[in-house]
Amino acid sequence: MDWLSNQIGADWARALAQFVGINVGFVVVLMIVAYTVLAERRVLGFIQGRLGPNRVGPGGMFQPFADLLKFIFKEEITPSASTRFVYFLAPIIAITAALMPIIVYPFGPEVWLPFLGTFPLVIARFDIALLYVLGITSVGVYGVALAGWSSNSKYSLMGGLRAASQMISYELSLGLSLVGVVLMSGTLNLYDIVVQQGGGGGVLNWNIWSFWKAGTCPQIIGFITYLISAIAETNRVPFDLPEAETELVAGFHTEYSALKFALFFMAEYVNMFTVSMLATTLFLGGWQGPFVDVFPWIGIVWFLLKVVFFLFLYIWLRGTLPRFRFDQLMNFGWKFLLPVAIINVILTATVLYFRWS
Amino acid sequence: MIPLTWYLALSAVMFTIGVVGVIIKRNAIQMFMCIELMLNAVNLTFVAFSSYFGDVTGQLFVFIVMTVAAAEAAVGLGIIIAIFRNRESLDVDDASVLRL
Amino acid sequence: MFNLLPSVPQLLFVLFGAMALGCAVAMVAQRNPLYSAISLVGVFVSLACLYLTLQAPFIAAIQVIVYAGAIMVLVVFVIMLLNVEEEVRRPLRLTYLIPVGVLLAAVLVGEAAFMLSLGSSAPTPAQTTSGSDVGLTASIGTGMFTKYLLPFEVTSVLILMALVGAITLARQGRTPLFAAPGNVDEEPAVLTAGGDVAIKPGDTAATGRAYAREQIRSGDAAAPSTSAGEEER
Repeated sequence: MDWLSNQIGADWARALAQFVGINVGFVVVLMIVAYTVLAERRVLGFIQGRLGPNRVGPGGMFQPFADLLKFIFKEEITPSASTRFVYFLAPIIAITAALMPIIVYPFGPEVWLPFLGTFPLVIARFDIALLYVLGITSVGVYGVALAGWSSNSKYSLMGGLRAASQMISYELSLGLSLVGVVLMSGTLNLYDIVVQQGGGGGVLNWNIWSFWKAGTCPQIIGFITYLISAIAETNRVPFDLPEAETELVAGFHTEYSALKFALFFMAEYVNMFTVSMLATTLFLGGWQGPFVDVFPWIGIVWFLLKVVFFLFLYIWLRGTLPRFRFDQLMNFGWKFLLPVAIINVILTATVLYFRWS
Repeated sequence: MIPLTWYLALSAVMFTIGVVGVIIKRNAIQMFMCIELMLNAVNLTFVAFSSYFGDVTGQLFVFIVMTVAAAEAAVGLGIIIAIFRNRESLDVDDASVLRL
Repeated sequence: MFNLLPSVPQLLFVLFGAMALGCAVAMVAQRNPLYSAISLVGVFVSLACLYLTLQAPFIAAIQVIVYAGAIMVLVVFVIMLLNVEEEVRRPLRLTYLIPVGVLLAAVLVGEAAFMLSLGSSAPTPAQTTSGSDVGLTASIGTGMFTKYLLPFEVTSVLILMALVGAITLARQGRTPLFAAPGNVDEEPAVLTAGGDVAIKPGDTAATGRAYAREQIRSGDAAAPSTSAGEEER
């Protein structure tokens, strides 16, 4: 940041770099989300023995843009009830809460950028990054609950309340399953957690199976708990009863049309992407991989490969599993997953105590 | 920098707004929310003093106040639901006499 | 050019302070309880930003997670389930109290301003020293598990008490406390939909909320269990 800092001062240089980073990250996330929608339709098609959309462009590559045009040109239907403010507020909260966490994820190691010198590929590094992500996830529940309420329809209300109670139930096991990783790393800063998973050829020290360094414990239970909680948190199959097509019409976003529905739709896929990024950062070593210390830019490739693996896992589960009934879902979250997460914390703490003493 | 008294003044004003809300409101849930506002104003005072004197005790106390507020919210809303079951209305003026 | 602006910390304090005060006044002035709840969430978020300007990032994150993300979600749930209506404005009966109130408020404001002006000889703020790490997670953890361990443990017992109390209060009178072999698949009564006789197609959300209210009011566990049986698909 030397040249830029000399021009306009160090604080403004850093602010400008972060502003540019936020814009780039925003565009990248939206493109990835658009192509995740397309990938989901094609992969689901292949699982179900049919082709997905493949007409618009070679192999259906421009399908997301066609979908976007369709959403823009649809008619906006607004219910005539008096809760119009909340009706407009709900998709705004949903999409804002989905997009805000992307600034803390490290996409790559320190690389040399023009005008900036060596710069770690993360927009914001601060001490409480993991708590920030959990906090924004907690606020995202409002989008769902307020949408269900303000639509003035019984399907939406029931769907909204079910979705909101499911989300707050699985937030607990989500947070607790990450405590094992925090115990191992001693910091909540996501960039430092990824850096600590380095060494060992770039693969051996990932948190999910690291056992060779001094203060580590393999986080397999934590990983599986986190994955299940994340799927429930983002309302995906097998936990998607609140928005199931055959049960509740479309749940809390029944009465939303055109662009507001597009915001909810996008918010769900951005949530999927965010949760996948958190899983790769904490458990699979983020941008760590072979040859990263030789050629830092390849860190982005490893990161994207791992995130794409998780997205494929989401789509695969959607094509394969039936969905939970709501009381089975709540029983599973409170009576099985939460105790497993707590046991994981106790086990990790015990193993770390004996390995450090 | 910002003098400490600015934070204390803001906290005092918020606390007063909370007190006014508790007195004015008749809905039990809205009164409860005004009590939460008062607790938060006091939290702001604690954190401001902790930051200005460099002592972590203030922030620890805020942590405990938040926990107590969460416990109070859970039990208080349970009581409100129980009252609603019996009376079908959340008006505290109507509930001020111990008679159904 | 950059010297004409007020310093950035002052700008941030004014911005977040104004937001907090505005949302607080909105919360008290609103009659619709759901709008009050949304304004209170705005207060909590702006207070979290104020904690960030006070260099207490851990408390800011905990504020968002606990207050805005858990307590207010609970309050919003209760408002939605009970279908709480707007307050009906009643006419003021003791109108002579209004000037008395204004006078006393002026006295209070005068006292507060006097006290605050006395305090402007406060010690130099420790927050200017950028090396202080009071607000970071490590220092809070160290304090909590060494010097303030007893309050921490007592707080955990308090949460356990609240848990037991809330479950006892919310339990409807006739549901058994421990699941007998036949009761395992009972759905929670309030969130049942479909297959019931109470809600028909064409009903609006008002009927759904009325159904929810009646479920809470009647405290009857018999009706939902049959509908849960019908809903097995």
